[in-house]
Amino acid sequence: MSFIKSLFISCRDATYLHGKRESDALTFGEKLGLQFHLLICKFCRRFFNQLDEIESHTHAFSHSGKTMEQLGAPAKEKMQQAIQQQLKP
Amino acid sequence: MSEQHSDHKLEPEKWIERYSDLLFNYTLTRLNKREVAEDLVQETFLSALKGRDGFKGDASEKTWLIAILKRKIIDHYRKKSTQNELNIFDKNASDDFMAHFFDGDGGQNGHWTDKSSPRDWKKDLQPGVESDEFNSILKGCLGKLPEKWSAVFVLKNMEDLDANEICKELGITPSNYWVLMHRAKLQLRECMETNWYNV
Repeated sequence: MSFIKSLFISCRDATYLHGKRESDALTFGEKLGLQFHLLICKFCRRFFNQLDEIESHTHAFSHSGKTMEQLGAPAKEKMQQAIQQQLKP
Repeated sequence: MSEQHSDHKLEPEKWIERYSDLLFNYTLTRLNKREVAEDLVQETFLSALKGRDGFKGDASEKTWLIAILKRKIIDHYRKKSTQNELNIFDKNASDDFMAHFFDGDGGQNGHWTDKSSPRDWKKDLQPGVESDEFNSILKGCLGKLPEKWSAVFVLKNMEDLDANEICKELGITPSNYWVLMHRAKLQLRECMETNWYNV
């Protein structure tokens, strides 16, 4: 009975398991319940695909080394002075 | 300063010109607050200066500075994680948050509500396609998350730490970690859908 019950998880539980799945931390029961849920629920399938997409772009973006914004000149000046101060013999 | 034995050497007087914008953007990507980012960049340069005798020249100056900055960012998140600015484990706050996404009292039934169920995304971003607009929306959405939530998401997806390492760094239990991650994902996905995919 509890085996059958473990097959039916809610969308709330399924979305919670997205994080556990990517960390390979799912128990056998969770894995089973999640697979079954994704089979029957199109919203959670979307949630999983969309999150995968967001995360892969997040990773690419964070490693792109892009310069989108500039530090203000006064801030740079302040840092330069702080460094010069430290470099004084 | 001791004699350098390798190709890599430090030239602190050129750091600002060479790296300040790079480090600033690196920080803003991970934590979208200009004043905090400015402070962390300055602290990075000063720590690097103090520790410059420990620089062995195995890595480039740039890699070395980024490694110091990474530490500063994690430390910043750790401090935020011990300050309980928003107690997510408070039952009422938790019910309110979940009730937005899932039906039943406090989201207990656990089925998507009509207004929050994931839509079919119209826009498709091809892998490898660079999009400044996408990136700035992503940055904005991450910046809207409470800091503890974005901390787990950023450390996992940008700093490539695993769940155990993140728990250790932030001083949280694994079950707290899964709860924080769950919330971060729900809110971030919704924000991206609203601002990018279905405009």
